Amino acid sequence: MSIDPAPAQTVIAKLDPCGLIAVETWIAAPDVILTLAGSWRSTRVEPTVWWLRGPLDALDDTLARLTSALANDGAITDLSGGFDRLRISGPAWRSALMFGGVFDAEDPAFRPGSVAGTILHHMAVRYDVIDDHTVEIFVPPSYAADLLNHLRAAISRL
Amino acid sequence: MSAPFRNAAGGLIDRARAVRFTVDGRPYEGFAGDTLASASLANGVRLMGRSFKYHRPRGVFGAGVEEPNALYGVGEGGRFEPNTRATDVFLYEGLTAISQNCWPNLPFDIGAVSQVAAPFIPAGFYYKTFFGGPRLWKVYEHLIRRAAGLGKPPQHRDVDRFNHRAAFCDVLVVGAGPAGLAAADAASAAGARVIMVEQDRLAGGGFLRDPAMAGGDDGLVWAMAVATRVKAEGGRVLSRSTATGFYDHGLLNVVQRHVEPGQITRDDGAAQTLWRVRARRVVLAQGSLERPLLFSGNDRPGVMLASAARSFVTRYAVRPGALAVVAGCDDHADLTARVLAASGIEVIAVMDSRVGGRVVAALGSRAVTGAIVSEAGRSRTVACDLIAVSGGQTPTVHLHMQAGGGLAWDAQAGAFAPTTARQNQVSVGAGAGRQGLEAALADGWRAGVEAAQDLGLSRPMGARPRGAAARPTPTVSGCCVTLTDGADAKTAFIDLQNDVTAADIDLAGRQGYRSVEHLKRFTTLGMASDQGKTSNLLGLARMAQASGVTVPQIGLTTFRPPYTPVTLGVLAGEAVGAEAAPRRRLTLQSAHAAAGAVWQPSGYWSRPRAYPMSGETSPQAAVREARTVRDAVGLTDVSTLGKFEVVGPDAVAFLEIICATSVAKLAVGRGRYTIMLREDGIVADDGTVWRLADQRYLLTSSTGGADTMAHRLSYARRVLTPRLQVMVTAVQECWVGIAVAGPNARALVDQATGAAPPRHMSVAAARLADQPVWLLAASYSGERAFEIYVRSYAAQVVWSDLERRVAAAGGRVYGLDAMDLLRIEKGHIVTGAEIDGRTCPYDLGLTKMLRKGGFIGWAGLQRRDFQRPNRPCLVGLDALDGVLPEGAMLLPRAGAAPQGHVSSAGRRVTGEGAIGLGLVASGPDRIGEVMIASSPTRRLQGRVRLTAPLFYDAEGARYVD
Repeated sequence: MSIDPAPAQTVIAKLDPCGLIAVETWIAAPDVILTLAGSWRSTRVEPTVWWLRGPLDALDDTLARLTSALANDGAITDLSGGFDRLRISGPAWRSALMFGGVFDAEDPAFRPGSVAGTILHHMAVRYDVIDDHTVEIFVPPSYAADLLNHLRAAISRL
Repeated sequence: MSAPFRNAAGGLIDRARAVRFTVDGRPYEGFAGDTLASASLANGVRLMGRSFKYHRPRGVFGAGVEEPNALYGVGEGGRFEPNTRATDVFLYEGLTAISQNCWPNLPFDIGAVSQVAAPFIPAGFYYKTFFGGPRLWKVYEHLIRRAAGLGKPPQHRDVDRFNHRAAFCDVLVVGAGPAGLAAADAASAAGARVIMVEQDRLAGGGFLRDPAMAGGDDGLVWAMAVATRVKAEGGRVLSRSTATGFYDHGLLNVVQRHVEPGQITRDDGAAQTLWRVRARRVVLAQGSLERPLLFSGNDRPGVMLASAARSFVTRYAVRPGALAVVAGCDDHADLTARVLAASGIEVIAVMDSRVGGRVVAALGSRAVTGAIVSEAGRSRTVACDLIAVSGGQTPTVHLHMQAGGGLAWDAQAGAFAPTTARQNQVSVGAGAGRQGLEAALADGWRAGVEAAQDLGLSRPMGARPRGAAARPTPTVSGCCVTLTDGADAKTAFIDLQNDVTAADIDLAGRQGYRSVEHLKRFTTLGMASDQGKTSNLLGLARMAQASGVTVPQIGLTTFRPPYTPVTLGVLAGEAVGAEAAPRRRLTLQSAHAAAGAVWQPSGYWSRPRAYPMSGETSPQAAVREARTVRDAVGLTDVSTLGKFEVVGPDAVAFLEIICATSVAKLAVGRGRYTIMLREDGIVADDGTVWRLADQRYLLTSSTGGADTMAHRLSYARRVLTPRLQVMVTAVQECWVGIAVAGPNARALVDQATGAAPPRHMSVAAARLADQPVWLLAASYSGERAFEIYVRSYAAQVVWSDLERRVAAAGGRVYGLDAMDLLRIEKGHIVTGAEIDGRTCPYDLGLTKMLRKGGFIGWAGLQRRDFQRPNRPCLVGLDALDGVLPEGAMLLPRAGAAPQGHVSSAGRRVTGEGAIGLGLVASGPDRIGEVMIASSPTRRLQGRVRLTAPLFYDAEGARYVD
């Protein structure tokens, strides 16, 4: 991995709203969550909390399915609408996150599937590494416009 | 254009690229790779500045960041940088430099007349001379600042851009000299993530000045190979980058210059980047700084450090003189003499203090014309234009000290060297007091290996590089920090930048200064842009000598960041103007803007303050909007409230710990007002709690308290109640909150949802504009009201629907100011005004709501002070004279001590006049009393009558359908 890849073809985009569900279990069973997630992408955001995300039009069905499956072993909270998603695609996404940031996004151990909650330019954000060339950033909608501007500027400064 | 002092060959300059520059408007030419100093010397320019206090002529003294004399203002307009060291700015086409601290020009400086007065203005003279009141000092200060000083600050707004960037590494190596390169090579080979920073534009350190072999190759070739290897292993090599500060937990600030001072950036890029580097291990390989010698006139242009003279000759192919005297206390003198001689400079004399050779005085005025030298007790005068001096080497320990490291005195070297490290740092090479190339390479390599091993990295690495100097490596066999016999202490300068002479140090000693910190303040020794890099140790030695103690007994001043000056722009980074801080935008921002909102900053949020109609002021609009709510219906955005879902079998148990009011008996579909306390019993925030389902609750808090409440809930969940089966999630921005308030609100919501709205303090799910919503029947205004919560992505359609219905019902949108007027009239407290970090529930009239224990803050509430009868308590305030300034003191009578203050105030919504809320000692017992509300700073004063904190609908009839 080159530490300072060329910024060319590194782009940022705001994604459409998605269904987002937080799941917490009292019985700490990652495999159970993965099973429950089905086709929804699951990311572990706290020791006992996972975020599942998928299509908005499947939200109600998924909520019902999760509620039923979890029963008394956990709880769910619908976070849909609570976060905007920005996606940085391209070889320099790691470098872009270092501008105004405090988290080591350049650590090779921060690989696809990794999640981090941190501060970027004063804003609380959460990173989800999709693949080697893509990261998605969750940010409260009120901050999204400024974060988008900040990251665009960061990419331009690479 | 000829450069009379440039050698025809050699140096690390690009002779194919001529570079034009100007100094004080006069054109010159140098080569790419030159510094302003080397190019000036090549052109025969010796005079490069005037001294701080006496305006003595000064020339270049060093060849790097230690330079105290040759300071220029560089660049123009918004890129002007004062106090730029000529030795630390590389030439670029069009560079413009102006000299400083002189008038009308550098060669003819009127200020030089102060040299005549020098005997009368020794160190600290103005402390004893300029007495008088503060106003008089303003006159003195103006005159002193005009007479003395360095560069003038820029007059234009900075036009450059600056980056702030984080970086993490296993091993940070500061300095790319032999030791640093070896350390980086070893650590990188072992698999460590390495960052190597070098303040120069080229790696190599001492190799740039004193050619040598390393790793079986030319030193500079080896240096480039190491840099290439480090980068190939995923490391970073930052040139033109200075580690300016070493802070706790392995954090270092590194300032990287992308362009030279005053230079226009390429492609609108950043001029500088401030790297905040977190390193697991730090190798400090900063080398050492050469010390000057003390003799009369040792500040004349032409006197320079021996290492600088070698740099100019070897790196820049510049002869800093034609006839040289070399003086030193170790083998550096001999080395320098041979280097100078090899470059065509005639070396007149080599004065080695080890065998009694000393320079007594430099002769000349604007440049050295000769020297008085002493050998074996006999003095003679020699003609020369260059005196190269070496008084020993001082390890560069600034970062080591900033990181809390300790130092030990090395009597042989006459310098302090690093000992204990407080963080994961190690000093190597000359910076650790090691002598010679081979020792530096071995030391650096060992540090790199050990750093990697400490981190558990054990990838096989090659053999350590061996070094061989082209000329015999100097050994430090002595130091010379004393004044030459026969020299005049009054013209023997210890601190060139601050015009501190040996006589000034002596004077401080005679006047009783014993602490080195006091000495520094008295004489200004070690201050200003060079921070005493060449002077500190000489000053300490002189003071020790005068005090009859040793240097370690005198001690050291504190080394503080930054190591070298940094521009203010790079400290600010991107955070200027609109980028200073992010702005939180409401989901419905465009709707509010379309309605004509005037915006009010509220933390990071911008919220609608009011929606003035044509010709209205904001206060007038607020009153109109509030009256509309009282008379018909109003619509407002309450999205910024803190919101938390608390879910699970133990949700009630958790909420009963958080909330000081009862939650357990709350039925499904019901809600109530609540308060949350700090551990010490003070009210932290207030809000509402709603039972949405059997095991699902919604807790709200104030806008300003939302982030704090999120932290409190997280702490309570993770630390205080880890075993509870409860999920606590901040959902502030999941929901957009829209409040509909007023006598027509119920009918409007009924019509909009097609279902009977919930009664006051009840909650129900509904559909509005075909979107699922929660209807929370809560009132902040004192009117029947509903907070309608809709998912943020569906909020626009719901707002539009409600806005249309409100307008049809004779209502309008209202903002924060109207909200404030309404809540004051109703006597509702608010975080930031009545909940001010000092008030407990008893003070706010909330005693009856409290449960009997079991919640955070209960123990704190038992403190005796909370039972004190004269605590400030909540009251209503009715202005008798129509004036009620918010924040005003409340006095029992004119001239008496204040007994409270006005926490909130505003116009009555119903009726005329002003009302407010306040906190008054024993307030509830003083209802009916008249006090004076006084705000001296605003020159406002009026009488107020204390009332119950409720001015509207005391019976709550407006809530009932």
